Amino acid sequence: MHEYEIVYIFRSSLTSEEIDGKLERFHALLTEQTGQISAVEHWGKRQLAYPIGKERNGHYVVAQFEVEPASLPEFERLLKLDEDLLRYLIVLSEGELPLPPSMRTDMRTETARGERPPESGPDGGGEPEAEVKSEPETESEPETEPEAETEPEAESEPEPETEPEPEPETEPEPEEEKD
Amino acid sequence: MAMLKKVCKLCERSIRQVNYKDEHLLSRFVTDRGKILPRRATGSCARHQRQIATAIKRARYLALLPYIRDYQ
Repeated sequence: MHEYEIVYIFRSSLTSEEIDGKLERFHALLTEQTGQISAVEHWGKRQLAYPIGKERNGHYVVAQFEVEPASLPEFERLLKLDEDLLRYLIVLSEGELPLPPSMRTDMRTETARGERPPESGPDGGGEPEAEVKSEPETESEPETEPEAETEPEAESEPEPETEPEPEPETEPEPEEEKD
Repeated sequence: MAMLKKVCKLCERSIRQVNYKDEHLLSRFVTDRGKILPRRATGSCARHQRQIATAIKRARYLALLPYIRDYQ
């Protein structure tokens, strides 16, 4: 048994009842034997980054399931027969829950701040955007200097959360060593 | 090229696994045309760069990210 994750993209003209019906049919094949569906998350209608066929929008559904690898080929055959399923992707689950539909931007910042408020707050805001958009070397130098100054300030702030570690910097270091 | 030595942004945030469904995070690691940025531009560590590349390719397949942006 392996845990998988599947993303479906349905034609956006389908009603939610039709989609539910299709999902039920697909998942029935998985649960028929020993499989198990652990989570189904509807993202709803979303604009595609590029048109697939003539469709510009798609209805996204993410599901996690546990099933014998041997039953996947038959499952995929069923998926391919469905004309209203624009696309699907099955990957081994990375153990994360599917992200909610449109909350993803908020989710990202919330989790980042929730885990390590002092450091990731300023970093997540200004620095990355400047890196992606403009790559002038002259600008990046003065940028990093004030950042280094702000960091110790942020660290010295006592956190209301119950973190036993006095220095938040101890966390990222072991990861770098692994690489 | 001659950029300052940067710490991997994802290591800083202690993100263990890059999620291909998080296109807002991934969009930081592509150019405005949609190409994957090299490590020398982002400062990502090797492990995260591999994860980023895989995640971006998956996200492209799922039309979460464009293969090419603004192509006329």
